Amino acid sequence: MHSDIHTAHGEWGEVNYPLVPGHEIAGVVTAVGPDVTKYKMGDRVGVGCMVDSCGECKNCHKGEEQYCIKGNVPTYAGVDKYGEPTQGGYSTHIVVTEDFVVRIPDNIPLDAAAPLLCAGITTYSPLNHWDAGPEKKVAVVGMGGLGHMAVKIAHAMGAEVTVLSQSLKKKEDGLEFGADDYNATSDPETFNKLAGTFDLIINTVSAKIDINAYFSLLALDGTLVNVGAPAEPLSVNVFSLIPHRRSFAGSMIGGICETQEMLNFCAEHNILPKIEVISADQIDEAYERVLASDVKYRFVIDTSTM
Amino acid sequence: MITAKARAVDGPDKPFRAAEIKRRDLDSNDVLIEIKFAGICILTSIRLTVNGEK
Repeated sequence: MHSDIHTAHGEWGEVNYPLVPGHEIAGVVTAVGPDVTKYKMGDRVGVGCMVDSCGECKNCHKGEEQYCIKGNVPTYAGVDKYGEPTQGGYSTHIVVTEDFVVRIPDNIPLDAAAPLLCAGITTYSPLNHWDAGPEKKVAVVGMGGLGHMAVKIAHAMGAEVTVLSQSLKKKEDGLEFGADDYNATSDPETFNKLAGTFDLIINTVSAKIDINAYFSLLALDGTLVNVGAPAEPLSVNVFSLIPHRRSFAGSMIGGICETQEMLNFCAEHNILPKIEVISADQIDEAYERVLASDVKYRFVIDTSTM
Repeated sequence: MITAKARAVDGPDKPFRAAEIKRRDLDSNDVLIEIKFAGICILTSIRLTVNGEK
């Protein structure tokens, strides 16, 4: 997915600096424009990866604003309709048109709500689109910020969930999050044992992996969906897709309406990301720890420390 | 214009610093949000690359 880390480090092409990243935003409404009807002062709200779209194309009309044909306006490192660069959530305030604001249900604390706005919707949307649920076998590749949300949401949807992680280091956590099974991808036996098993695989890993090995784990008509975004092309052997009518797909966040649906679903099923709250002065340290895989499972900045 | 405190970077691999940024005045359909928490979005590829794993 779009990543603060990639953007702050300038690896995704040209970026205007100075840059304020952050697209997992939770806060409270403190003022509204005269025509605002959905929100009032004091409402608990969130903003995710986009703050606007054209509102006129067929994808916007379908509620799939993230796939706006003219391009959605990303929450930071984008350009808004006034021609100004957008700046994100590592900040005390933001102004957003009400159609790109979502309501945070009362029983979700604001700190835990924040990661739902990217990690939550990025995993909920493909699980929803490809009908994860009872009688479905779902595998989640990678157990980071996205992966741990995918496990919790797929489990709550009623699917049988298997984690495929590099090692078994986070197995205990994975089972606690709702996984039924947990396997190390460093063990070749994993791929023999699970061949032809899954209806849906959500790949949260953004590194170049041997994707064909994962295709072999799909059942008839199974789909592997990438939500991780590797910088390098993956080598697809079509003969690993043809034999069982398998599909390879991508998915990017979710629409605004679906984001609200995801928040309501998480509230109803008591699904919260596992977070570590940090102060503004700890952001650099947090980035270092992310680079060292030393986070369980999402850092959240307390903006009162700005 | 509304002034907000923020943490910004000045370029790739630069550290975060305290900054003040401007937010636009509210348009008719705009909402001003006082941000309480912001998540740090983590991309797995860098973690794996740094760890020397495939």
